[in-house]
Amino acid sequence: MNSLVFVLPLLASQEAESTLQKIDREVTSIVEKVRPSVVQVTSVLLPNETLTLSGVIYSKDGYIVTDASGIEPAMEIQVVLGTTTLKAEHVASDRRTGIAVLRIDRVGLSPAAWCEKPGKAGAIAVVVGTPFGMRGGASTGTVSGYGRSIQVAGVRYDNMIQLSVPVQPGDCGGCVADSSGRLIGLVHSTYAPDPAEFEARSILPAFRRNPQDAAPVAGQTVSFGTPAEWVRFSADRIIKHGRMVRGWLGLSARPLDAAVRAQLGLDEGVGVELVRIEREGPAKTAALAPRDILVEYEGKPVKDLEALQWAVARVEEPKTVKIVFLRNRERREAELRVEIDPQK
Amino acid sequence: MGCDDMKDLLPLVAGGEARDDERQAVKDHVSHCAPCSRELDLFREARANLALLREGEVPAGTWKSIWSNVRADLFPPRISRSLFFFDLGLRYAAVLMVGLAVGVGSYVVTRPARVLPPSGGGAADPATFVSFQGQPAPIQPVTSAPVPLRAEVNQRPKFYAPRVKPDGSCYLPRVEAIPTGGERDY
Repeated sequence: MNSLVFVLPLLASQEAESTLQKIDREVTSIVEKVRPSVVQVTSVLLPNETLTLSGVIYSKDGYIVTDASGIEPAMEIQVVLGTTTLKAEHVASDRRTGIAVLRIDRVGLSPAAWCEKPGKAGAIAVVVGTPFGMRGGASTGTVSGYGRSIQVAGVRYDNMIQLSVPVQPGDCGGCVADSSGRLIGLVHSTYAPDPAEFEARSILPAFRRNPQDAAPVAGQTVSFGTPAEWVRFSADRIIKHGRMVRGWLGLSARPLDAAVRAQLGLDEGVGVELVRIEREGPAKTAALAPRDILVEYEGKPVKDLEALQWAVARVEEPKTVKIVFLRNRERREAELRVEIDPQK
Repeated sequence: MGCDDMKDLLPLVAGGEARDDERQAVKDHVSHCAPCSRELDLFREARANLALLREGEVPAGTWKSIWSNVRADLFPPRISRSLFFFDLGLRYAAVLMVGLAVGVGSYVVTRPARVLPPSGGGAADPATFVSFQGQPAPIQPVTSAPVPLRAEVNQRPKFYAPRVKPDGSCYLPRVEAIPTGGERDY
């Protein structure tokens, strides 16, 4: 009877918790879980000029993953761990994913938990980073989509996660966590119109007819992250080899249009169209040409662009594979040598 | 000399401008050549007709008409200094007026939303303003008179680009473009 006196108020209080309070509790627990794994990375460009970004602890023995473009020009890299500033070593970077691996002389770190499988669009996403140099800053939103391609500083990045989470300068390299507090990606970039561009557009209302045309173009609502599986792939390879080792064909491809596929008599989903062949590369050596339709790779039908990317990227030693492609509706077979990406 | 050589000499002989030997040569030739003889007669007849024309009177006003047409070319009018500056001023004034017209027109089209006050002459109802700066305006029941049509047309929300200059020492790359077409690199 006495125990009921204590249990009943507790039950009553649990029933009284609203949905918003539950969400609040869940989100704060995610942030608390992720925060210890997020570090501040300071890239010293010149003695009086630094660049602040974020990083995520990858392993207990001192490996940290962060964004490559922020640390490439650095003459010295520092990692702020708690209240301690440590000098970090830049192990290597992957040009394709934009991931860099740092190493600090410290063990017993708390690495982030990793989400092995990509989630679905619409899932909750929590970003923990260093917005404007404020360590552990968190913001929430949703995952807007997967498999996006973006271009940053003239380089294209594929398979990116599109986020509706507000990210700020300094968040680059920060952790994007799911509702379980597991890392689903690293903050990469943001898509925000240039203020100058906005100013240029601001005279246009004189020529607008519909009110919706006057929607603000300023304000950041779209950000992008590197997906966890590719971060992990790059980090593992760099830690294993001391440099980025991945396969390379020297070509670009795009999905085949359904009408073209039907015209060529290909099965559902099979075939990718080559759109660009690099001047020097395995594809050029194999005499592949733009507009060729790649239908088989290593004896398997080519159905998914990302699956093909994985098949090529996983190569650690140069090897020769058999491919089947269509040129002018004629089926041809060739041998294609997968080289190691020169990372140029 | 043949007929071809005569063709050049016939008009000269008819006009009396040939030398004696040429005249003698033509005379010898037309004595046995009927076509050239006829042509010589035609030349002489034409010359006689032209001579008659010279004796006619020039129509009245001909010289005045010709002179008025060529005078401007021969003696271009001198522009006075004051006229030159007046003309220049007019040109600048025209450019200025066009610029002012464009500026005023742009302002009228893009000016912030304004609601005309009710007919009583009091201040406009704050609830009818469209504001995107700071705190939203309090929503109050509209008790004023119906808003004139012009105010509704001009009720355009004004958006301001945030003049935030991010801290240069904090890093976040900006996406330049979002390629379409699903192209991937291998």
